[in-house]
Amino acid sequence: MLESTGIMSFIAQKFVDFLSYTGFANLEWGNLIMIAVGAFFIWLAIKKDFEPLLLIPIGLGIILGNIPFKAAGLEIGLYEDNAVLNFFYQGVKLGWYPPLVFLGIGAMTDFSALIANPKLMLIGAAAQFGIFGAYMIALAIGFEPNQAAGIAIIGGADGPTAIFLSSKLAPNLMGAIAVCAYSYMALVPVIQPPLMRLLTTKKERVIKMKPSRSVSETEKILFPIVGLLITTFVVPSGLPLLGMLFFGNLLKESTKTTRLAKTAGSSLNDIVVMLLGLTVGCSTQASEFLTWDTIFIFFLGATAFIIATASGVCFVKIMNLFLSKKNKINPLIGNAGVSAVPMAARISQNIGLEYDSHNYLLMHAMGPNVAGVIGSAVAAGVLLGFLS
Amino acid sequence: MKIKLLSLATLLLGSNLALAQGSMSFRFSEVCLVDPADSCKTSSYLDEYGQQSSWIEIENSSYGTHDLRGCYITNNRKALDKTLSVPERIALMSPIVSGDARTTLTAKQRIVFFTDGHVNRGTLHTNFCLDPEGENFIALFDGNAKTLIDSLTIPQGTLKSGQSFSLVPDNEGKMVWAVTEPDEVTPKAPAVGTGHNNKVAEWKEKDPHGFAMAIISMCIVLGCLALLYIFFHIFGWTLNRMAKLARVKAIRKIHEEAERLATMAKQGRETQGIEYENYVAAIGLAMHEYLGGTHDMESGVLTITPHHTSWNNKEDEMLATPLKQQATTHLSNIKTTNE
Repeated sequence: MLESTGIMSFIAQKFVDFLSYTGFANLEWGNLIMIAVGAFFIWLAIKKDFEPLLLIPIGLGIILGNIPFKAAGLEIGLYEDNAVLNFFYQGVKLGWYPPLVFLGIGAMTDFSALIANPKLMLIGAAAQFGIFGAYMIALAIGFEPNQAAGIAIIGGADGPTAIFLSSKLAPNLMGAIAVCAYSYMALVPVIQPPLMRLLTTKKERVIKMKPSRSVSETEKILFPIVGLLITTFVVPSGLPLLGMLFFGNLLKESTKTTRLAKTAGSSLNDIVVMLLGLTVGCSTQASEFLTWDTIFIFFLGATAFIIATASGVCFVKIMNLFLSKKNKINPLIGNAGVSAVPMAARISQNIGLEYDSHNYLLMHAMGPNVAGVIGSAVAAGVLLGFLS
Repeated sequence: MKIKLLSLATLLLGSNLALAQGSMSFRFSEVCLVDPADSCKTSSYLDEYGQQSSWIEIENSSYGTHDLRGCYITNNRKALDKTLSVPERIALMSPIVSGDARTTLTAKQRIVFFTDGHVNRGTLHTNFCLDPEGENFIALFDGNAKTLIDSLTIPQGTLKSGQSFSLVPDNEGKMVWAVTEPDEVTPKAPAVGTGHNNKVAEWKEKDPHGFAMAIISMCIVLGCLALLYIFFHIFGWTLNRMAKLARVKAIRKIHEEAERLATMAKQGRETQGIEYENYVAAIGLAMHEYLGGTHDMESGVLTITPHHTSWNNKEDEMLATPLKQQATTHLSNIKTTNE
């Protein structure tokens, strides 16, 4: 009877249909490679403690984005309209996650070290040469100016800025750029110390810096307002990032909006970081990610980091030529000009302590470190203004 | 009350500006005159019915999305007469009806209206025709039929059939009206060579190695942070200076006080009634309290002004009746002296 009604063949056909929808039937080598990359990121985050807050969402995102499925209009993929992941991805695509992350950074950052010793701002600016050095190399490799700018911003060591700029200038490379930027940020403790040792003498590494003066409330409140006015008047295209950064900082320093600052720096920031990391990871689908361009991007990202670190350290050495003996700056804080906050500053501290157990550089290094955040946002604004 | 009124006025002003910003971003960007009698097919742009006619291109010059619905287009100069009532004005104009998604223009988007006098053919057709041989005036009015958004006069003989009058950038980048040949007419698109990808192409052509970009950008980044450095350096220096001046002022005040107290002490030494040592001790104690920060908030005022109590009143220290023994002794002394 079952055979006469054809129900068995119907069941068999549907089962075969079902099998054609599974990941196994749609699997490609690229997916497996990317899943392995995602797993490696998660391992790095958990086992090696490399930026777990970033690498775990990105790692899982990479796995999630590379689960193979049949393109049958199921509205599940990141790039499919009406998919939930696509909805989350709009924050990356339209560039509104990065300013929200900057809001959180502003609400968490204490700019006192910078206000107390404002000349440290120049180190943050000098380190941005990594961006433009990488831009020139990217052009030499054969990238278009807009793509080269999107890739070069990795040298700013600022994930949100890299995502913001690449989403505007080189959307097709954004996934690779974002993963590269975050990967190198996690690898700052590996990349920077050898360079810092190479570029400094033992005598320079033990320079003790003058303790910073105390900073008044007025100065702390004025900083975000004046900073916003100066930077955005010069580079209006950096408004989304700089505006939110200084807004977050004003919430913190005004002392009247502690509740808002707390939310911006904790819950809101955590939510955005989760979604940002996950969707950036998801955007690295094998078909888009496993290309020669990605390999070049990783190479250029490393180059940008190296140039940025070297230019920061060398700039301090040049500054020291003009400073009096009591005002000398320890070149070990030059690496902190890249805006990987506070990891780059921690590296300055650790290496400083290796050579003199009483030389605490953390607070001094925080100056160029937060200046680097401003500097990379300004650099992104400049590139956006020139090339968008 | 004043604050409420001020807030209300600000809100009203803000909402007015917001309204104005929406429709005011529209402008005429190209006008093409086509003579229907012209046997040569000079314009290849046809309407939905495959017909050729003169057309007007309107551009959303802003970087936001705005809707043209409810606005009016006219070729009648009488519409400029401010004394006309709104219904009289509307009668002179061709309305852009609502309900058509094509009238919503995204950033820099353009829309073309055919001036064929056949409004029954759809939203993109006007109720008037442009004269290919005479002078043409066109104006765009806001939804209230009063606010003029843009207007344009094409003098007689400026355009031949198929040519267009379009907004193009001059050498300085300023937008000016110019005649465009039929093969360069660009309905619903910017004029030839004014696209948005020019920036990248220009950088690629003029700066293939990226030196110019690196130099300019580094100068801007350094300049920006240097400005911040200068501001906070000067501000910090000013604050430090003010603090130092305040300290100097305080020290000077202490010196003045000390001088005053020394004078008082000198005077006190000469004064009968209060012993010099006690006076100095009181001043010393007050100074000690003042400099040690234990004194009250009346800084600079030492509260040791003379204070009369029954303990230091001379009259109270004298006995009401002198001692008898002392008086007798005194008298006997007198007697002895007399003897």
